[in-house]
Amino acid sequence: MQLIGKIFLYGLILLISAFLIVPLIFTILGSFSVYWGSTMFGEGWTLQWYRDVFHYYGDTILFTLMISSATVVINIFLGTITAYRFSQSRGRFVNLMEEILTLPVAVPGVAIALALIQTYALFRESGLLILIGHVVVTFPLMFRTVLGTLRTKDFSSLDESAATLGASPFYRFRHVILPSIKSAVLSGAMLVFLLSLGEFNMTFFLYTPLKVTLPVGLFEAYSSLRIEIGSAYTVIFLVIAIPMMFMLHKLNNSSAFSRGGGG
Amino acid sequence: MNKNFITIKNATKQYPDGTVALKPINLEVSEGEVLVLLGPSGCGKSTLLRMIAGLVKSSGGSVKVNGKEILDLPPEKRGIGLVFQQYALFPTMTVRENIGFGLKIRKKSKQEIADKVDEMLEMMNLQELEERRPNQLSGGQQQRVAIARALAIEPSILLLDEPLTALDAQLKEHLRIELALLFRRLKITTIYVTHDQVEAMAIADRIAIMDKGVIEQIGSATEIYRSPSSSFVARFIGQVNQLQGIVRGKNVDFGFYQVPIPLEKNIEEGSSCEAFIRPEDLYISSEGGFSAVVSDVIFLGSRTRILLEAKGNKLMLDLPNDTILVEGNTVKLEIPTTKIIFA
Repeated sequence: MQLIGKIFLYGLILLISAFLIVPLIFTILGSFSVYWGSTMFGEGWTLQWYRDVFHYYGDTILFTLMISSATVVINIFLGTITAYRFSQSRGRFVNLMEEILTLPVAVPGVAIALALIQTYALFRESGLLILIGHVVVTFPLMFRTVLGTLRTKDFSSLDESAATLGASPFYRFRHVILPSIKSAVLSGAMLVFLLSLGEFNMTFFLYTPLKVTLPVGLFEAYSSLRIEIGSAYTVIFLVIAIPMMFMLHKLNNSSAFSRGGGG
Repeated sequence: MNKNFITIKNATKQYPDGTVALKPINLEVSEGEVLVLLGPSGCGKSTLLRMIAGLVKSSGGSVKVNGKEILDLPPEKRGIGLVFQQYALFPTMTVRENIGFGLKIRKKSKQEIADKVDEMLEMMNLQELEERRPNQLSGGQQQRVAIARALAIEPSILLLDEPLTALDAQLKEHLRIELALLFRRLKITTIYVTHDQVEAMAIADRIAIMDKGVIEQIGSATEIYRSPSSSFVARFIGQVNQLQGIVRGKNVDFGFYQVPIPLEKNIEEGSSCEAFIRPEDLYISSEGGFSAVVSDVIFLGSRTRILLEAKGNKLMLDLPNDTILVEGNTVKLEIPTTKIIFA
């Protein structure tokens, strides 16, 4: 009975995994196929689609990397400093503010996009509005990750002991707190980068024909160009995103270890 | 030596929700003195310490160090060393960097920092550990580093907040003596917070007993032990037999025994009266004042505690650990009148 249960369970897991992975494999194969019809590689394989992607969307890739990097840099500052301030105080007001700052996670991207357009329409043309939007949407990730770590350990007594030793608030933050939460800031930064890289909902309403990000461009490629180009595009996207995810995974494991080793 | 090196006048602390942590506190500490704030948890001793360090904002009053008001200075401008219960060492820095932290902020030269840190490492016996990080140290080692770090900045005052509480019993006893000797040698003005009376008596020049935001009594360990000013202090420090008596003429009648009222006490005829006698102050005497039956014998290592009953009153008597008394024995006891503590 137990054995049958086990077989059933593993079978199910295998099936689900296959269900998720097979389309990915097909996408990768499709990106190298001359014509992805019923015969798949019937007409041979090619790198043409990759050349096309770089030709049509080279700027988009660059622009996206710029947006995502800038979002990361801004949120490292904003998220970390806000989390630090919040970790030092407790109370109903602080809790309420914490919820408000986490709101962008729950609000649909469309709503955020519309609110931003209404408020900061003049930033739209330069593409700056996309950056603002990305900062808003990814802020909670950074904020939550760092705040979580700041609340696990007694950082307030580290701060206090540095204060009695003569360190100014800035010095304390820079030389005592920041080095101790480095891995949280790093993993927050990677989460922010990944979320920004893949953000579609909101960006779809904010982009201009000249300022397009990868996911929006992907949508365009699938809807107006050949499916093979879309596939190549997806592969390029994954090549950027997957190493990040592995690094994030590794970072989380190692920071869990260092937390356990402390005392 | 400055008699009023630290002068605290009417210092209070009330939290926004109305909780009063400190009622107006008045306290003077002489230069080089080791004052221990002793009391149960929640008595306000840590609040007072943190107020002096600048980590808790006072709700009123003044704290002067060497004649200078410090309450309006932020903690980093006070030049006061603070040692925490949980050590609060910087986890990303080595022992050497931890100890040198305050000196680096004071922009001392590399050579000066190295010399001072070496001196501290030697004083606290940490030479071999200088390149370790805090998580590679035992609790006792971490606390020694924390003390070295606080002393390295040559603070005007050293504050310690339950520094030994997180350590196990044997280490605690060892470090307690080490600290007592260190303070005596350094002659630095020290305020030491603890809830452990044994620690307080070993370390203190004077002890301030606190309860519910008030200093109940200040004095040397012997003064507080021998003549506690209130029943709270009597019960908090050491062990006592509590006696309930009624005043009859010139005597107090405890039901099983009568003792004369000390001259300076003015108690009304017929009124009830609380008194205390320490277990080691009762003694067995053949001429005996009253008899009591042994109800239990508890071996405590260095001495033996005898539990007694005299006419329904429970009493404790401490004897050397080679006593031959056993349960059921009847003994004749005497209470030396000079040792009775009247609350």
